[in-house]
Amino acid sequence: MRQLLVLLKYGLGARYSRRDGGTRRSFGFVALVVSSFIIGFPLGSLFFELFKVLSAVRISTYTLSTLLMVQWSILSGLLFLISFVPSLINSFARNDEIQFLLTFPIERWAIVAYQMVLTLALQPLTVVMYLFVFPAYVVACGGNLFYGFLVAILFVFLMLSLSFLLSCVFGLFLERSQARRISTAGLIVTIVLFFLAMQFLPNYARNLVNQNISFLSHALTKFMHPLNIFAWPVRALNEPFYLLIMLIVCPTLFLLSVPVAEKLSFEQKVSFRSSRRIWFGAGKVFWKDLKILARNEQSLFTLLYPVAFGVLFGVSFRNFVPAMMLFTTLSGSYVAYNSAMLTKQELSVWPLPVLLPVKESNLLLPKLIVPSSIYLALFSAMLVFFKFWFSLPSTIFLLVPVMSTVFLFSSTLGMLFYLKQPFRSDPSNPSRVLTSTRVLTIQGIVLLLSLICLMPFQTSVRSALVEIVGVQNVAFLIFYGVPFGCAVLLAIFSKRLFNRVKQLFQEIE
Amino acid sequence: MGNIVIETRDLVKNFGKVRAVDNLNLKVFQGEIYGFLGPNGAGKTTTIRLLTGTLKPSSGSIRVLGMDMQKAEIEIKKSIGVVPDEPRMYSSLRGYEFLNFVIEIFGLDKKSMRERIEELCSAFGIDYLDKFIADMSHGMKQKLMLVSVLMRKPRVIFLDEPTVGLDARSAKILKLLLAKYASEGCTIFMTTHVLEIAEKMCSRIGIIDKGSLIAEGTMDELRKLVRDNVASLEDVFLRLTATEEDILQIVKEL
Repeated sequence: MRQLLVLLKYGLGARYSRRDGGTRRSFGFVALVVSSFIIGFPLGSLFFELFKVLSAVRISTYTLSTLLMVQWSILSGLLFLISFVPSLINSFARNDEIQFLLTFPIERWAIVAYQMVLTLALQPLTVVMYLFVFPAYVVACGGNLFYGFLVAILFVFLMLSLSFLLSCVFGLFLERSQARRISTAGLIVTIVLFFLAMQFLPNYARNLVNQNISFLSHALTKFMHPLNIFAWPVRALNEPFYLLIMLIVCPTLFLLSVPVAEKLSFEQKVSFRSSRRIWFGAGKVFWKDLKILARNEQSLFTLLYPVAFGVLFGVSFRNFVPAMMLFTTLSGSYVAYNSAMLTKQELSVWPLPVLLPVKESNLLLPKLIVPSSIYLALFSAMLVFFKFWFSLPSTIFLLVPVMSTVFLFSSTLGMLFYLKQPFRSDPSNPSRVLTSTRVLTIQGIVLLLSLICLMPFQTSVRSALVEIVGVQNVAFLIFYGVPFGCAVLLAIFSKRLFNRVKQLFQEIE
Repeated sequence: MGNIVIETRDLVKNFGKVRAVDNLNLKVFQGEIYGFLGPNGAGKTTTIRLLTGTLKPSSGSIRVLGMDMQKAEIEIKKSIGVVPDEPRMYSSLRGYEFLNFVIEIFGLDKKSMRERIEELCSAFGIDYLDKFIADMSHGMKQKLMLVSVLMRKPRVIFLDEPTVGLDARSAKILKLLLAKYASEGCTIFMTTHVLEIAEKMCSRIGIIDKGSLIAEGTMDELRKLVRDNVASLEDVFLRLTATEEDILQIVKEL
């Protein structure tokens, strides 16, 4: 235990602090708490109102709010396991920090527990979803908030203990790539579920009230089964025996995990694929960058995240404009991130890039073109989807050339911001290539640009414009002129920024 | 020869279908400086990682200081020191914070360690302990890593390419220090590509190629093996790894 405490003291201290010139400032923990509140509080408030209404409907010893709570408990618990366990397994292999820690006399279970804390800090969404909802249920049912919070925390510990055991067992044979895919899918499902919950919960609660009593009673009996571990916190409110069970099961699971953890090798499980062709022919920078991007661990997430959110928003709001705005904003920041990441790759092998017989612009241009093209292809695919979903006119495809300049601009910004950073890499968090401030700046700029480019496609804005201008042809000229004018300006700005990027690249020592 | 400090029996390590270490049988004695040489990808680093418990073997056994690695991994790690080829440390910690981390993990006495750290820092010319590790050069990190190991005076020291990145003065001090430690009974197991260093420092040398130990012995024993009484370690190495003729042929064709 002492080893784990020392690891947390130094490891977390090193990770959740930022070097700023010669000093270090802690920021991670505060950011974590603030973001948890931003996500959790509205969800907790929404559930509180629902629980208050549903607790008035009594079915045998329970109320309808109990049914909703236990369903939420199962859902968030399962999602936690689906996203957290593979993430933890993913962190076991090719991890420089673990390899470094293995040279010390530290028990392997302590390393796993330490990794678990790190993973939890990176992926707190499902925990937040539970920690804010359960106390809301307790208070809505007239219970004690403190007790509710205590039980919720105990349930989180139960989930962590279970994850600890599952990660150790699956970590013995699961391949890292498989774990990464499951983890990304789990994370995206969780995020989508969070937004769906915010959208559709009131309707669901209304439907529950209208269900027939025998059906609800049957459902409650099934969900509140004593062997359903996700129901234990709900049962623990009235039956302290379940609190005792949770208190016993947590350390038991942990103790069961320790011998399994000691068997972990923290090695990459390898599966060999025959290499049929070498397509990295002639050292083309373009293919090299595409390959690097395809192999980047974040890539799958950064591709799926904007698509999932875009589609969700489009379907929820029945309007393609806000959906595409959200998609463009998220994609814009990921385009910038990918360009910065590709630039970072060149700097990590410095001075090799300047020793190669390749012109600077040929070295740098693929870093703009590769990410921009990928997201432009996604943007086009989204337009095709929405065209058929909402029966939109084909003129929406005029947005494709306009958006190509937006993505190119944000890509150039990403490279520029990365090269301007005093600390260009953070070895304790290799996937972090741009500071939060820079990312927010890029998101703000892209949001503004997407607003300018997409708004004319909004029917209400279009009608208003015709009304204001009076002459339909002039209105149409403005309607198409604004996005295309913006595109021309962006192309000019991108060219200038790119020259600045080249200059910064030349100044690297 | 003293007691056997490092011993492997039929040690095998597979990565998927690739056999990185193939039936390795090693014996290293107390007070020895054992040089472990081999071409790139021969299995040197994998062997060090197996001997230090950072990798688990596919089969075979490892005993360090008389203890079985499978049963007493933590006890062994308490008694050994490892200087890896790439000095990986927490980049957001300052130099002295990293040393404090090592002291706390090993449960060492802070006061006596402080004196020892001061001695070693002055020997290696380290005056940057309050710098962030991220801002240190490779050589600076390497020296910090060396201090973190040498301050504990471990009974066995494993070094993977220890002189890479070190300036001439620091490299010389390190070589002399290792020789001094060995004379005091500490066992040194090191890999290096600088064959002159191995020739001058090591009491015995093992040569590994494609995961197998192909030769082992003192310089004289290795010379006998290639039937050349005046051969340098470079000549011996190239002949044993069957690359000298290849090299000559390649250069000729160029």
